[in-house]
Amino acid sequence: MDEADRHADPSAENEMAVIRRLLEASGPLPEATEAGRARLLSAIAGELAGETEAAAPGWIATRRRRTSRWRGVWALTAGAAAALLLTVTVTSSDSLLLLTPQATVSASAGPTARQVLLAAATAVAKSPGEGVYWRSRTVTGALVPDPSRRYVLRFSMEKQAWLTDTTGKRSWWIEHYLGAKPATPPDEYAWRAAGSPTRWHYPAVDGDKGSIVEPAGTWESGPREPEATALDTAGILLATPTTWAEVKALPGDPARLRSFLEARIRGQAAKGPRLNQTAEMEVRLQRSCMEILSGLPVSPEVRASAYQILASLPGIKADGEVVDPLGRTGQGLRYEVLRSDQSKVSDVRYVIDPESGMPLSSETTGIRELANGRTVEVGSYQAYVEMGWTDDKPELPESAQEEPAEKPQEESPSESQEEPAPEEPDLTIQ
Amino acid sequence: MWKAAPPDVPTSLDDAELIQESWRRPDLFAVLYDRYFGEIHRYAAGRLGTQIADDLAAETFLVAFRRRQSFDPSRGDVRPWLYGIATNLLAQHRRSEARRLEALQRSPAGDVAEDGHEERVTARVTAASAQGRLASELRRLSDGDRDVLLLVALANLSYEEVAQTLGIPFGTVGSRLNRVRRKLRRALGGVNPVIGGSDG
Repeated sequence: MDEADRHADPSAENEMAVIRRLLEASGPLPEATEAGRARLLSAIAGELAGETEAAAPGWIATRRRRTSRWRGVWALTAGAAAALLLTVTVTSSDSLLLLTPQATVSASAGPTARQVLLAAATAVAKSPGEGVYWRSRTVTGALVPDPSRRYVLRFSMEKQAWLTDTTGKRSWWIEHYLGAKPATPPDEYAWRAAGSPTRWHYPAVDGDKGSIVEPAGTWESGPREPEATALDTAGILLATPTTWAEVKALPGDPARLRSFLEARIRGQAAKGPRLNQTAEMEVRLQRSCMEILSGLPVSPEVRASAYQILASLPGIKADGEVVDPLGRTGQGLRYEVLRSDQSKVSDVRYVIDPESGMPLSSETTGIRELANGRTVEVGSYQAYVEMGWTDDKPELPESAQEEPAEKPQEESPSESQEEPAPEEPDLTIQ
Repeated sequence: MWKAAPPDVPTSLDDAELIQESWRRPDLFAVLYDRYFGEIHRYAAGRLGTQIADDLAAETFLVAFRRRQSFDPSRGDVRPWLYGIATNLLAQHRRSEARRLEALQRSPAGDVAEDGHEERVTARVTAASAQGRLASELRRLSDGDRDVLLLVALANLSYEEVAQTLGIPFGTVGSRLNRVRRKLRRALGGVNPVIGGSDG
């Protein structure tokens, strides 16, 4: 210090430097910073609460749960493991979710959606189709308002599917809930102001109000142990479990695959709410094609056919080269989900790897308003990390060493939100 | 879409925009806290010690939050506005400041318990007598002069920012500062107190 001062200009800066040396303080201790922030946040929260008392309805809390046939079937098969999935719910006709009605010409010079899909169909037809297991590993994230709608939480989970029909081998889902935390800095402030909760309870969901993602049950901030579920199915098609025989019988020709899917969709509609719109048929066709592409152990021909059906559907637009939620580059395809009055429910985006023709991710996003009027982005994504045939073996968590009992789960509409089965939370995308 | 920062992350907003946005979205005000709490605290701690500073710095942001609608960007930046609030709050602690300067006057190294860098302690002891005289001179300054001086010396504000902080004309800042510095130099005997040890 002395050394430095000898070189300093002794006239101009000096008395200021001495003052600094005399009075200079080191910064605040972290506890002081935290305490001060907590005081500010509680003032912020007070103001928010003052404004929003009336504007905060029970949200989903006051809704009656309507039983959904498809979710029932789904839960029956998947058992506890379905808890951790983002399940695609078949929309019943009273929600009338439509694709954008008219086909749109891509404004950019890049490839059109149709070209992207047809190229993917060509690429995927060349993929190898051998192995003991069809394996897929999916990373899922969801942005969801907390139950009091004061901030947005980001839920993360990872799922592996190991599907096989080799005699003596079992198919598995291994699911790993990775936790939840406030999504952005403003959410973190609001979360702190709410007392930094680490557990959130969502009441049971009425499945058809056009929300994008609505979790049900109790979720914690920390991760859980991975859970494995033995499966008797080859996966999910049209939101219904499907057998290996059915999967193998799927036609590897676009026209025949489309007829098959349309017949299945009509068959379901006959049992459920009436299906009365072409556009709604298109929504379901599009969804079933994505189920085939992202989840089912089908042949390359079936995969290519699914892409060709997608290419023939209206309303899908090309986004050109985009980055998926895991930072990978691919071709983006997008469509809007509209209500019958044309109001937008959500945006859906797929990212496809043009090299392999495999899907990289699918994302659903929408805008919601929080209790204080702040508009936020909500939604979910599924990013496919690995997908294809393999001779590897699944590494099962210890809990799966003994067979988990398949639990037939009846519809249990929980009108009151007091205790809806906390061990079985369920995130539903519509 | 998921990769990009959500549209409501305020990192790109400058201070004044943040305040304006925070009218509608009060939670954004916390971003200002994160930007400036540290330096406001250091300024307050320099004048009043850490303990009072903990409370005063936190209070500064509470006051600023409640008065955020009165912030007028045409009259200056957010940072001097915050220093202005802190300096107003400091005015309620004049006696504590005086007692502290008095203590420093007797024993400039007496502060070690609070921040015990050995180096700094040594330097303080070396400079003790000169700093004692300086502390005594600081204590005798008028409140307005002391504010100007310490906003420059401790908070590193420019003349323009000091003018905005205290709501006084730019020229006044310069003339006050010159006068004060002359006094201080005189008190120090015109000698570098650290080297000189000019007790004589």
